[in-house]
Amino acid sequence: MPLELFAILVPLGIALIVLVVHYSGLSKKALLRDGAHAIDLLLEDYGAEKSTGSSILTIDNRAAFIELESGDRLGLVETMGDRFVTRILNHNDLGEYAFNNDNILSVKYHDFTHPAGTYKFGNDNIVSRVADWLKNLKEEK
Amino acid sequence: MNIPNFPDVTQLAVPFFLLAMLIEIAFIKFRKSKGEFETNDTLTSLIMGAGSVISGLVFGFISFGFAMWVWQFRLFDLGISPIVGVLAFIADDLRYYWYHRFAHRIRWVWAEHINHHSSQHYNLSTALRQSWTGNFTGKFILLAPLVLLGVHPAFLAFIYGFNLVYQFWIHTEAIDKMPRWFEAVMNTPSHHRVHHATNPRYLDANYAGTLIIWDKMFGTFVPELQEDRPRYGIVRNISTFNPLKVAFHEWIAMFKDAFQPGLTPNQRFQYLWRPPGWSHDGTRKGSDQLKAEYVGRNSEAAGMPGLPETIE
Repeated sequence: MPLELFAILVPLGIALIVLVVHYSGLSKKALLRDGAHAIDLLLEDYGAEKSTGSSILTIDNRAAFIELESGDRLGLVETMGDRFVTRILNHNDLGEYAFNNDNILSVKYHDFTHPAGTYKFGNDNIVSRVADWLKNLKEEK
Repeated sequence: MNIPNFPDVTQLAVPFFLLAMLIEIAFIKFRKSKGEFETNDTLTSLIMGAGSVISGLVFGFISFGFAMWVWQFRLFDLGISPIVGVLAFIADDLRYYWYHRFAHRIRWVWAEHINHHSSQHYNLSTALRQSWTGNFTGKFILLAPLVLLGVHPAFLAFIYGFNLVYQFWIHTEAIDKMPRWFEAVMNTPSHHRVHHATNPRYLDANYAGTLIIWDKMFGTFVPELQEDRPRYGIVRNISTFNPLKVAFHEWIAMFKDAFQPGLTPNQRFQYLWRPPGWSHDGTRKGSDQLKAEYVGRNSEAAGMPGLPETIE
């Protein structure tokens, strides 16, 4: 196949397929149903971990922090498209983090494909619990 | 030097790839066939495919140049004929099996191959999520035996194109099982779903390109089980659709590990050649440990295909 034809066919082909996928209604966005759902997803990927059963969801149900029995680690579940990405965080994974007045948490991670996250929580009480978990994690050695 | 001219089979197959994806999407949408697509995931996979072709055009001279250099030391010249083509296809499929096995068990090669596994989806677009850095791992060394035996590198490249085109159609959930005789000999969607799965029993299994017999011969075959449906992706899934990050994330992670302070030269080297999941302090888990832990939690599964008999 001539390179010129190939150079035209490939971008057009990509555009066609992506548009068909997008407008076919097949492409969905994932949401966490509740804390138990988030814990199930985490333990499916990290079967050796044990959760305390305590989890905190963001207000948009797109992320959850999960308390683990180990104490020196924290579970994280986030949506990515129609799928979920899970992480077991330890103090080495956690960079700087800060809360603002709108109950929004901004976190930097030492993770090349997941360098940062922004999470909005429902109220001050929830925020303070997450803050405690992150503080404990940061102080773990 | 007279180099025979063969068409690039994978480039010629591009219209077929596009048509096949449209058919798969139509089957999922209108016939309720099994399978899922997501816009960003599909876009990333297709960009990875296009990037892989560009990378091959720009850097393909490395592997082809090596093969042509070896060609001058050939023991025989088998020429170009249909029978040589068929025999070379089978022998090259065996070469592919070993390349693929190394790619999963040596982090240096895994760093280029991981992006093919980085989608949590399994559809025909996933087949095109290919490496950009394959020419830099030295995997082309595995071409040497066939070239030394007298298969011309250009003929070999032509033949390998058919292998790659074959592997395209098996990246689908829309096809459950093929006829039994076919499943026994050929790589199929069912066998390859296992290969793309992160369920502990399915890790490091079914490396075949075209013929599944290699996995059965070398003890790496694991059948797909209805009661343990494949979960696709990698053990620690990436959290990005950015093609540049997809292409290079494992290279960056590997070199970051190898160059961290306080390691011995041997430990640094081991981060390059040990299997994914190896760490100098034992804080990470490789596939063997994940399998053992799974058996620890599910003792009834001990000794099943892909799982150890006992917990070590």
